[in-house]
Amino acid sequence: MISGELSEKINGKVRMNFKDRTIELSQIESLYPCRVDTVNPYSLMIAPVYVLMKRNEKLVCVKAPLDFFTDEELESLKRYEVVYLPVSVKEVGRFQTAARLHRSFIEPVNDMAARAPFEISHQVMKATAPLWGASLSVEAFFASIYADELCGPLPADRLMQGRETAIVRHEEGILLGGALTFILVQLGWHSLFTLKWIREQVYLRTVEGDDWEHSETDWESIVRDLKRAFEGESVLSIPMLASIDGDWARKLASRIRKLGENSVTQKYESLSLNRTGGFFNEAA
Amino acid sequence: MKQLECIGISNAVSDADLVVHTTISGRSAFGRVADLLCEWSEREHGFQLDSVSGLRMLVQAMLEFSIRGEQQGIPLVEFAAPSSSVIVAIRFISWIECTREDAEKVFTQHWLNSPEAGIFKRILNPEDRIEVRYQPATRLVEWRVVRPLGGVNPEDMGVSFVVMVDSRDEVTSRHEPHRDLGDLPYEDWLQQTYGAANKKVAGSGEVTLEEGETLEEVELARFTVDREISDEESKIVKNVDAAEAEEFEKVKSRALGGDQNPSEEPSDSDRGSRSAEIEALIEEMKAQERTLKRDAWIVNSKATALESLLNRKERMILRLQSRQNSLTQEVAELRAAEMEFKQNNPFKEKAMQMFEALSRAKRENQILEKTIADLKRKENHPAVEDAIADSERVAAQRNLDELNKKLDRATRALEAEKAKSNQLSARALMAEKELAKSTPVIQDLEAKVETVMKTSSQAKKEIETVKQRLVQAEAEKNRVQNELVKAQGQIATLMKRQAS
Repeated sequence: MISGELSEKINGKVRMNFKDRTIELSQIESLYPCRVDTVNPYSLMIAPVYVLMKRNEKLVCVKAPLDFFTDEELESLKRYEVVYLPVSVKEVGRFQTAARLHRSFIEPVNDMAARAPFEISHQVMKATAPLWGASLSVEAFFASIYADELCGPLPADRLMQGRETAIVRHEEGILLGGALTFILVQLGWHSLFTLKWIREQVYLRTVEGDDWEHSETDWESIVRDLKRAFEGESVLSIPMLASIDGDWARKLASRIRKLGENSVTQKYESLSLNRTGGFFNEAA
Repeated sequence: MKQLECIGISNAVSDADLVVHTTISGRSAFGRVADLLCEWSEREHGFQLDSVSGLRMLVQAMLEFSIRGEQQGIPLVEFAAPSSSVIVAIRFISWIECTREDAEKVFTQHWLNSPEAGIFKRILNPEDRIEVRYQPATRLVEWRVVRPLGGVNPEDMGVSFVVMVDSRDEVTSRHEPHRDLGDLPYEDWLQQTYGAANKKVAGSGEVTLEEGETLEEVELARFTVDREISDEESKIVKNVDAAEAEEFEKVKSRALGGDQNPSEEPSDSDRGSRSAEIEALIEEMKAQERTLKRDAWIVNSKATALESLLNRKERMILRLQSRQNSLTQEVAELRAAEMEFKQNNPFKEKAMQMFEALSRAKRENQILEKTIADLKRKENHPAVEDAIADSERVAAQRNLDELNKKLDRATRALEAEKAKSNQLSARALMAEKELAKSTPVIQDLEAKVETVMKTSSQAKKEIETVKQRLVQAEAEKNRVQNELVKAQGQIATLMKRQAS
């Protein structure tokens, strides 16, 4: 079953319109196999997921990027044993690895004193330097994958409800929550509990139709600014931050500019869904 | 009550001034955050040590202040050092609930009476300014301390306290230079400060601790020392105040002519010029008093800090010495145990050897005792020995007789067997002789048998030949008969032909 958001439009742009919904069997060598029992329910998919239809001799997409599997769906897929993902998934995995590293910085180690916030901040920036890449930009999609790995899946019942009742806002909530989490981490918010709570709030309120124009707290004003900025392009970058009139944007821009001087950042290419080898088409 | 222009210190500094910021996520990091802020200010702005030390205590107290009560957000610290002052601000969700109208009253009461504010008061310099900014809608509160650097107008001495409430007409600063504490090269600084040998900086930037020390202990010790220094400073300042006030009164009294004879009244002009001189003297003395007070405070605070550090080091040395003693004792005990162990093992071997030697000795002793007993027995009882020897001789003779009898019986049996053998030999000779006599007869008989055999074989061959001839004859007979039959048939055919 291909999720409905493949053809949904947000602000006139097709977001999840990836290229190949079916793939010929001859191209199976170029795909990355993954065992079904290793897929976590309600975790956001980092790429389109295919299964092999032997009789048709084709690979058919069963899940779009940013969608998730329920327990029942995974149960029904068990007979296939293996699902396939595009090879570009390995590059997206860079965001998941960074999130896992971040978790390890935050979570206290037994019999060791907690790290000072500036130490965590330093380590996090080192870990996220490759994510920004040479062009110093991160697309909201990848930020969402990072946030999902860092904070864990959103509540299952709310995800189901959002997907079934408000598919457009569901996706927008995921992207906004993910981008916000990614930004807060760069701004030194290292309480996992707080980050989880805020991400959930962003998702729930977006699905419920909050336009975020009446923001009060720090993070609410960031969501408001992001929502306005994403009306153009869902990318976090220096030009995007420069267009925002807020303390947080200037602080983040200052940090990212400093990252730009780092040789590690320059070594990596900034990931883009639309570049060659990506799994999305240019927005319509 | 003033209107709040904006929360965040970037509005209070010039566009060129760098604002350093960090978040606070746990109490255990207070000391390190304060240390790093002060290290940065010292390196970037060259503050004197006393100012920095006081600043570190201030930051630490502010952090402590921020983390109390419920936590709905993450406290944020901002720090800037524009040319004329140092500004430290801490922003967090306030646990004090108040409306826009009563905010000033509530926060002033809190400042005057709360134990949290007491922490500030003990650390603040007289010229410091406290500003509280509050957003009732979000309950976001910012406590800001502004400490002037350099000369301060004496009239401005005394901590000032201001509450400002957000009007929600948000004004955002366009300030650009911001720096997260995590982006400072703190690892290099730590290494420069502590050196690689003693307090090595780990990869994460954490300072490794001495043996048995936990980070909490270090933080607590540092905070305790800071408080002690603060207490000492306040005592010293008070003492200096009291002493200098007394001295000042004396000087003033002398200057006013307290020691002069009251009967000698000065003239008006003298009084006027003297009054001016006195005023100038008083001003000068006041200035000197302030300078002295300041110098005394600095010197005393340095001395107290050094003394506290010395005490701490002494305590540490004592602790280390006691630890060393206990370790030495443990080592001695272990060595004793080791020696005992080493000694026990050879003893076991020796014991085994001795045990074997003892066993051997016991066996030899038994043999010797037996020998001695035999000798004694022989020595003490010869008659018994003779009786035993007689009985043995009788038994041996009896055995010999029996053996002789057995030998006789065997000899007789042997002779009988010899006789039988002779008889058999004779019989064999006779048989040989008879055989020699009968041999020609046998040979003749054998020749006859052979002849008979040859004759019979020839007869058999002849019989066979006859039989073959008979078979041939029979075959010939059959052939002839067949030819006869054929001939008869031909004859009959010819007859028929002729007849026809």
